[in-house]
Amino acid sequence: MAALDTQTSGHTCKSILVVEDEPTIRENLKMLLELEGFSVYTASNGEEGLKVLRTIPRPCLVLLDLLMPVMNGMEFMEAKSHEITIAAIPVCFVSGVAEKPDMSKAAAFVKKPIEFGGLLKFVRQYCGIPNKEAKNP
Amino acid sequence: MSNSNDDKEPKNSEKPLDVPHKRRFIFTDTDAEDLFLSIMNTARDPLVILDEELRVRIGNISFYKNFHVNPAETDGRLIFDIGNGQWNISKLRSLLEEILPTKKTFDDFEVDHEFQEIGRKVMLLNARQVVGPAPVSEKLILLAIEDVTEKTAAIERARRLANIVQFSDDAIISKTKNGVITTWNEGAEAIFGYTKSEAIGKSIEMLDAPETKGETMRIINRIIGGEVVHNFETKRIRKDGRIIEVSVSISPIKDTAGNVIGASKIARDITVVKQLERQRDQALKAREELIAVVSHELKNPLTTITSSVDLAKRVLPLEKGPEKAQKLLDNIYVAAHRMARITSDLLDVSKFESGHFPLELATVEAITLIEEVITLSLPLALDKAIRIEKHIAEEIGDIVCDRDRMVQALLNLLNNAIKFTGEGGVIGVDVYRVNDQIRFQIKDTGCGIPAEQLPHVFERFWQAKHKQYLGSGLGLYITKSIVETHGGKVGVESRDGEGSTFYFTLPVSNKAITTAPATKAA
Repeated sequence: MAALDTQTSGHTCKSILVVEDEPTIRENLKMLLELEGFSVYTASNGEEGLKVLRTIPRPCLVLLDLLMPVMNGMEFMEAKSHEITIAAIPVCFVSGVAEKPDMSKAAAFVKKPIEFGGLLKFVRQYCGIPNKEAKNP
Repeated sequence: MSNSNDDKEPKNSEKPLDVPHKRRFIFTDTDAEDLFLSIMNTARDPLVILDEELRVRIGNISFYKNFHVNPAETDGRLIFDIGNGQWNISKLRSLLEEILPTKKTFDDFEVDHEFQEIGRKVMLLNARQVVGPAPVSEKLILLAIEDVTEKTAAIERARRLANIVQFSDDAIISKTKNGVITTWNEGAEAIFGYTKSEAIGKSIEMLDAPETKGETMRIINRIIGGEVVHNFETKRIRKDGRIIEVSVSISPIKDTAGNVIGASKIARDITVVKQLERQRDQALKAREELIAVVSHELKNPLTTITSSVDLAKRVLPLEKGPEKAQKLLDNIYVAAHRMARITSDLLDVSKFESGHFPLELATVEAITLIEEVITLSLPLALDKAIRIEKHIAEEIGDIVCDRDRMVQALLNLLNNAIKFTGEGGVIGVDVYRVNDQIRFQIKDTGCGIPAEQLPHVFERFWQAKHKQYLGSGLGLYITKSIVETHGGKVGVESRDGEGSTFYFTLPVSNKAITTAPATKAA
């Protein structure tokens, strides 16, 4: 849960909160984003996610799984919207749900299995980092 | 042949026949004959008087009218000869020639005869052998013919109807305004278990199930109030206490003045149908749930596999990692993605087949749609150095669709085309208008599809017979389902060895529903 200040890419450090109950996916997302130079905080359910959000410096994005024990993603969204200090932090759903979720309060929806290239493009865009490596001509 | 020497009298004349009153038939006294003729012509049933040799002496107006003959054709002729021998009826012959001479009279003999010109007639015959007035005192035969054709037909119809009612598998019951059962057919016996004698005279309320108490009388009151109850599904109780599900239709029975005096009910036992429906719904739901759970549960481990491989490739220094390791990781990555594709395809198919396939409709520019799909396919095409040639007509128009689903449908076609086109090949993407339709067409330069396979390519689990291109066999089926859900049509043209052209058409949108979210591709 600690913020690791890896500045491998050299740009200003931006932080991201990953809320995901599956430990391996949580760890992989953390590793990927850290490789890209982000500070990554993690939580294993919505309740824990809220606790972390209240204590850490404002992250530029929350990656949120929807189906989780204790407090699911939609409940997290509802609770977050009532806390003025964190309500405005953008959230991207990352889920394998079959039905497209209610997107009214979400910035984006990334389907599982996650396609890293697409996810990174979106994260960089949201965190104000230019997508320098344009893969496709 | 026409026996008529007198063509003043058309046979089927609508006007009353001019019966020649002036001729003397039986009576010497004119007044007596006039009176007699008046009596004859006042009778509504056909009457005819024959002489001893069974020749027609005279008929009344009703006789001529009913049997479409006239005096000129009949008078003085043998009854069996008149109207081209139409009256040569064996039963009539035996009545007149055998029974009458001995018994002098016969009553209510039914004769059913098919007349050539007037069709089938059912007649009740009465006859009397009499002696005419003096001084001649000849023997005469009075023959009264009652036409009961209509009456017999009505009775027959009623009997048939009664049979249908009696032996119907549906319960057909009638009851008074107060709910007293007045008729009860075999269907009712079978469905409710009460015999006719057990049911008639009882209250219809005995059929109310505990949970529908009072319902039968409420329905009767609604009928009296002028309502119609049609295919109302409810529960009733049988004599043996078993609760059954029935579909009932109830209509009023009215008297001739139009007052409701009761109600007739048709009830069908739908217990088994309902059970089967519930089983089917449960099975469909269970299957849907199973597929949803399985595919969702598969997604997490798949995400772990693909993201781990992705990460491994990123952290593995190329110079240190042997090419073989990279290749193995690629294999894992491709296989995991294929599994992911199949689970999500299966989930889609389960949605189509359960009919639960919601569309998020928006107005979308056809051109942005195809551009997005081409952008998404580009990496795959570049890997095989395939050139995509676009031919997109200008001002092509908008379509109303679920953008994500339509991208999926087009991507299936374009990725298929790339899969089946060789290295360095060409794929044509054409979008153009055909009247009020937009046609999306993707032409590959692959191996083509044999003619006998063409009708099956959009079926579930159809796969091209090339081992190296394994898929779920659901892609084209999904494309077809998506397109058809949008009111479009899919098609394919192909020549074995010369590539294939897959296409679909969608109606051009006339009005914008909402603005499509600006999903930027790449």
